[in-house]
Amino acid sequence: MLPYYHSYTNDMEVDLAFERPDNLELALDALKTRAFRVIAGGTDVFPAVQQGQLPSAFLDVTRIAGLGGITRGDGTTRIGAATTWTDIVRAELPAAFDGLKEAAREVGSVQIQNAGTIAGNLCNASPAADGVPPLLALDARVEIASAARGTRVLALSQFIQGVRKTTLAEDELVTAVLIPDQALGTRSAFEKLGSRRYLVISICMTAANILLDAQGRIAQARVAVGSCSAVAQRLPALEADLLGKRLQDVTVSTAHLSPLSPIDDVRGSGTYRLDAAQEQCKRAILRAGAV
Amino acid sequence: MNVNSTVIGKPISRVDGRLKTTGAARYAADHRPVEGRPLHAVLVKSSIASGRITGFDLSALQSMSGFVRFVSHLDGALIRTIKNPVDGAFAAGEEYTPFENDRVHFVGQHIGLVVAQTLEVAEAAAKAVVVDYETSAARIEFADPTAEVRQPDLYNTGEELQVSRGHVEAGLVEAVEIVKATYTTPIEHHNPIEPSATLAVWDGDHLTIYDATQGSVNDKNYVAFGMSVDPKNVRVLNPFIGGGFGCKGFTWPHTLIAAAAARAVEQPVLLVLSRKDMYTSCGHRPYTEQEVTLAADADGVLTATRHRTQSYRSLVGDHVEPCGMTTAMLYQCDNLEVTHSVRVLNRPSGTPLRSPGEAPGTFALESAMDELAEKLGMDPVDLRRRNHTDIDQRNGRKWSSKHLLECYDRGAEKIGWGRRKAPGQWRDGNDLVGLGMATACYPGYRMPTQTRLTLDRDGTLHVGVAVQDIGTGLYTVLAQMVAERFGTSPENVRVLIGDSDLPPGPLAGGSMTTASVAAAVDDGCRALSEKLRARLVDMGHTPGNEPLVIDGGALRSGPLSVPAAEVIPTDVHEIVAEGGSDDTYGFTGGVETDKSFYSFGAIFAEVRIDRDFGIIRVPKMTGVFDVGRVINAKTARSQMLGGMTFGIGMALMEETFIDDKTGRFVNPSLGEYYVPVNADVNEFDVEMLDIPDYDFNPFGARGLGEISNVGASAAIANAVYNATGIRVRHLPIRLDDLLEDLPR
Ligand SMILES: Cc1cc2nc3c(=O)[nH]c(=O)nc-3n(C[C@H](O)[C@H](O)[C@H](O)COP(=O)(O)OP(=O)(O)OC[C@H]3O[C@@H](n4cnc5c(N)ncnc54)[C@H](O)[C@@H]3O)c2cc1C
Repeated sequence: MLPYYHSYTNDMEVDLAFERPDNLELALDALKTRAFRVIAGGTDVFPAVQQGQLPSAFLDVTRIAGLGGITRGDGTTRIGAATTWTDIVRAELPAAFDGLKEAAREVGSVQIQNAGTIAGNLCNASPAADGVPPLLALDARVEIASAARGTRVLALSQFIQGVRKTTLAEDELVTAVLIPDQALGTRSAFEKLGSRRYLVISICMTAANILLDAQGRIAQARVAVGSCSAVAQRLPALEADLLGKRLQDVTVSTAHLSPLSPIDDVRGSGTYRLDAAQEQCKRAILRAGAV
Repeated sequence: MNVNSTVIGKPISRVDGRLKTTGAARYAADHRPVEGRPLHAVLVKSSIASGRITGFDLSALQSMSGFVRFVSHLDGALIRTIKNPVDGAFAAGEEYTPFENDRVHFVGQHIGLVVAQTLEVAEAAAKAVVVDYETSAARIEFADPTAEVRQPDLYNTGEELQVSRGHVEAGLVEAVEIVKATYTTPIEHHNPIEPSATLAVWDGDHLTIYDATQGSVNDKNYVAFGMSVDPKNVRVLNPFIGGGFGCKGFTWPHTLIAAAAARAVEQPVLLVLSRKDMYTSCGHRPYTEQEVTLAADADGVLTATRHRTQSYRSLVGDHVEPCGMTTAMLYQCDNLEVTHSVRVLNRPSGTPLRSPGEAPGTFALESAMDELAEKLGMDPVDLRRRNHTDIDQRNGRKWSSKHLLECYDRGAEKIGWGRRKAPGQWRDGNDLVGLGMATACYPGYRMPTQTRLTLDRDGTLHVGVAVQDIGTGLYTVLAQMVAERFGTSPENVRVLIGDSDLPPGPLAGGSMTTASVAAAVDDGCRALSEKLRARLVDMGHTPGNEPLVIDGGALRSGPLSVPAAEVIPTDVHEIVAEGGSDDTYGFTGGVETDKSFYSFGAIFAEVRIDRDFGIIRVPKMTGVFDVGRVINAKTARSQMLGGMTFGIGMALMEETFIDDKTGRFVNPSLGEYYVPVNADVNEFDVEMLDIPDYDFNPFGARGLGEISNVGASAAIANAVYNATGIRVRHLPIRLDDLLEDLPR
């Protein structure tokens, strides 16, 4: 534990607790005692802190044993909360995770990917969080722990509740993202659109998870779109329509996009976003389906 | 004198490169006073666009440990009322004296300064200041009908802003095709990577400032005036600057405020502007609305040209975006009218931003030329050739050296102009492909500059001049110039710049530093050479007529070779000579000459547009430039790459939004103000003709930098038209501008 954090000017010490526990129990106990700003890679927290005042205490989760890294077993892939995007890019994972890896490569820049974590992306709950659509398409669940109530697991779609809003309580930490094993042969893809080629907030992004049967018909489809609603959305009507279709027959209609409610902002108009989402869905599905 | 050497023109790596890449180069905010540590300062800025400050509630600050002082207009006259310009200086960013009174003219105006022991405390304290205002009606919206409209006579160079020749109406009657269209360009910000910063250190009535400024001499004179001290007592140091693009050109209020605060608290004060501060503290390129009319006969010969620019100014800054000045001189046209008007608004002040006037002006002019070519059924390059002129259309003088036709030819060949198809006809997979081009040009400027040349006992040469390297490569270029004159290598030359105590030189603006120092270095080297020859004669040697070479610790002239240590008398360490030039070119009061000095170029762009998303990519840009002699092929090329990248940003990304209700800039951060990243930049093909212009200075260099983003945005916009058949007359061109009408 580091008692003090030095201001970068190095001219004067400021009172700022910075706890960096190495096991979960200590971390959860600490959360019982006072209000902490939980921090992992800090790539969302630090820019936010610059806008306002420093919190009086940080709790860094990156050293907690078991929170980093990816393990597989019991029908589940468990991605530790503090796993970085770079860890994900480098991990050996089935083809169903390719979309997640593509998204990982598009989170900020390499420097951001080296520090930024999967749980940080989810807890920050930005409508433009690139990690959310591929995880929705993987049917991901979020594992949450607290000292008082132990562990709970809930679907990602229930975890994120709105812009910058999650179900996380003050005394809770996300400990892992859990992904059920995908049917063998499932493949996935991620498409991102921004106002420049790289290091950009998404105007619209789409992840598709596709399984074809032996005849080349879509046997399973999960498609999720981000940046076009307060929280990224799966498109159930589209997913249902895709079943039994061959790739060349895939069409995406505006009706399929009804869960989306894009807004106009400086990055793009709502109408443009819907147009783009429609095309992105098609491209993601075709790319995921293509052998 | 001819320049033909092994040093000039070579792609020599920056002599300061190692310092920069290892972090050893110290920028303004990296410095610390010799004794003690500085207090940290944070600005308090107005949150209203117009009104008066009726009071400050500082109650929350008193209890903050580490809080030192709050400074504002209530402290009385801390800064002498500025008149613009003060003696020996070029300009201040604003005609305004900070903290002079309770008036507020725009959101973000500096109305107070918190000084504290640490940056954190200063930031917290600045946030805790409660300001009471009495607001008055603000004119923020560009089209506000109650805004005063002015027709300024002159730009800051002294050039006329309202130009008229011949009869435009008559020319319109002669025409077979007329293009009349309105083009707009957005508010843009400079966004240098290093924010402005000032460390002010007083010692009695002597002041040392480490300032992120593009002009140490200008800065010195303003600060001395504002602090009511002799300019001799003020020293401005700016050895390294992390980019400026114009926002550090003139002296802005924060520098005066830091100096005043340091005097008030009797301790050094360090003020570093935040990125957000940068958006309202040191200028921006104002929004422009430009109506361009071009009329041509059946052969494409221009019969009339009209370019009316409307932009705005703040209540305290007089910058005019001079969009039409290029139009007035570039193409042969006897009937022309160029006007500029500004609306006076409660917005932060504008200031020059990389190619002020030329960049937004050529977007309009060169887009209109493209539209005219289309109407005439002519090739856009041919249309420009047809209207080419060897005479500066503003004053009837011949160009000192102009090779624009060659630029068109080379550029067209290199981009593969022959591949170009009719609008919307070129498809490649899912992409629409197009080619576009534009003319680039930029004035040749020169300002008075003095230098000090020194030879020490080791045989090392030193050159000193109060200019600055804002990242352009000036350290290296100066070393090369001196090395060339003494037949040695640049490693043998120590360059001293970035210090206002050195012999005076101009501010780094208008792409003029290289051209200005060229004449001064030439004269300084001549003076040193004469002194050394005289000394050799005194010593009993007979130097021949061959140029004096100083290399390997010795002076040589023909067969004669004498160690430097012997040449320099034992009672001194060095021999010093001063030289310089008082000549001015391109500004009022300049040298009387029958020539006009301008650089020219041609920019070509290839774009690819995804038919489904409207995403615009620029796979290739070619720029061919006629900028006189190139002193360093590597740093020159870097300038061009930077300028063309700027062009991509201007064409496709950069825009600052203002909220017309509150007068606030909506996106004051690099997270929301997009500039191109590496992945947006693909193939850049840069060529410089490298034809010396010895009429301009003895090294034949006209200077370069800004020219490379002139025309760049028009070339891209014209390529977008060629790819899609959609004419976008505003910048930046966004995906959703195209999507609806894209040929599918
Ligand atoms: C320059 C830049 C570019 C970026 N570009 C992108 C981009 O393109 N796409 C994108 O999606 N994001 C982007 N981001 C945002 C950010 O990098 C990602 O969201 C990243 O995944 C956040 O992870 P982190 O570990 O840094 O989170 P932190 O900043 O450490 O934390 C973020 C939030 O999560 C909470 N938190 C973190 N871990 C836990 C935990 N285990 N339990 C409970 N709460 C926790 C924190 O309290 C905080 O509220 C960018 C950020 C920057 C600075």
